[in-house]
Amino acid sequence: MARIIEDISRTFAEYLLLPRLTPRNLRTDTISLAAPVAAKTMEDSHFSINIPVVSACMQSVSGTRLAISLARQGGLSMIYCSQSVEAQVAMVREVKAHKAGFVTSGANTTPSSTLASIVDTMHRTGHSTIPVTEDGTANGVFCGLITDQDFWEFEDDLNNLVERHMTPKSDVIFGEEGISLREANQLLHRHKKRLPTDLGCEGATERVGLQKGLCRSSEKSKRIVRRAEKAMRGRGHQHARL
Amino acid sequence: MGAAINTHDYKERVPALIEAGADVLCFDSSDGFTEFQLDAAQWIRSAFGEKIVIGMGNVVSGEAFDYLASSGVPDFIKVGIGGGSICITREQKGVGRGQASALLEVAEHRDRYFAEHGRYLPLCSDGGLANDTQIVMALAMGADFVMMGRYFAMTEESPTEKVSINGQMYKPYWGEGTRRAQNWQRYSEDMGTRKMMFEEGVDAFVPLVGSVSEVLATTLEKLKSTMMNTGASNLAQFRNQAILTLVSEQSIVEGGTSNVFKFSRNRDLDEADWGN
Repeated sequence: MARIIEDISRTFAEYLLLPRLTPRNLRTDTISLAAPVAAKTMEDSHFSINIPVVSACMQSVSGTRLAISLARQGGLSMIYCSQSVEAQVAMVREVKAHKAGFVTSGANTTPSSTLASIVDTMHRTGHSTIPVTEDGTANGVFCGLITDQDFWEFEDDLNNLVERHMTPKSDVIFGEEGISLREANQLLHRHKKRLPTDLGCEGATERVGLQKGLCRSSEKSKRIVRRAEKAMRGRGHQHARL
Repeated sequence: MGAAINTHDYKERVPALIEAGADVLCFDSSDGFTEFQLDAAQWIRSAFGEKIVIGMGNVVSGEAFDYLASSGVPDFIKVGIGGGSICITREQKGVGRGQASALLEVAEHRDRYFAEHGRYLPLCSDGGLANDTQIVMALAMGADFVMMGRYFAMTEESPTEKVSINGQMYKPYWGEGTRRAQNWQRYSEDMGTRKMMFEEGVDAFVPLVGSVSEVLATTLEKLKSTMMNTGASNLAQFRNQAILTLVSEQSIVEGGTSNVFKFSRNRDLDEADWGN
């Protein structure tokens, strides 16, 4: 004869949590959301995630773009298996090839572009630091960096070429291709640079966001910022960055 | 990097996925309380060792958890049958269980198994999460992490194309139990002989809400705020010291806004928003 269990089948919406004592020293920014994924004994799990969220193995959910985005946030995606082995393997490879902690620069330019095109790119993409490469692509030979502090939009001739205003490669502190995330962080730390977060990284908490090294000497930036601030004040311009 | 697997072509699929760099494998099945899932998992464990992370499930009872856990094979266990927004297993087959009841019972067995064997199996609460509060509840009731479909289908980064319907942006969202999702098998040699007689999912649309980083920021901030209320600095502590109460219909009414008027330009959109 069929057996009926005592408990009613219940959903999350039927419960509430009661508050417990909140200690004086507890702060939201020190709360850890890390979660184990691999089974563990007393020690730490050999595979864990930084936020307790994974995306479902579904065609309309866990594609490569979502997998990369969620991994950046500290979570994990399960690439769906309702596809051929070859197709699923290709997706896994694509996500794996994406180097965690680094982003491919989303806005680039060439030394012979005009400042007008830079202003346009900055407005369009919201990026304020733009790598200059020979062919103007993210994978081109690196020539220098141009930022919104290297020229005055309302004073300089916007027909001027980027190469006249950019910080040339010789003055840029950069990492060689193949640098590890740890080495890149050390490089940034050594030069007391904050991490650039405007290069296509999502979220300001991104640990490192440099493609081919994007750290200029801090003294020089400070000088540029001071000079620009003064200029802006003098002319009464509002400028988002300052 | 995670990848889903099934119990049919695993001997071909698993080696290829591991070679491609997958660290976590997870059985994608609405019912994991089967001898063939255990057979498949044991085959993977003996072929690839302890390093590869194997998720098994889904289960909704302590009995099923004990069966899988006692083999010593699984890393994490996925809990939930038929709770997903596009999953109709409960209607179609009469199989399933409320997500809270399922999780509470499985978590109790997990804790007992840990006490007896010293092996802690993380639990993944899969499906049935309708808003941020319910994520918090799942984590309080014993889940180590949650798996969500709809939540991510609603983001910019989901693999589907945006669609504009009546001036509002939507994204398609369909269950893996639909003919649409299972259509690929017709073109696959190993799977071609499996016939689908009825569907266990639906094909629908969800509103587009923004990028993954945006929606997660709100969700995680709410979670941390609740953890503050319960005095927990990490998720294990949050679980261990959680005290929950079953609420009556009337207490749910009391908790909502009452006796005030709210005016909005697009009522439907507001109500469909994630996390309201």
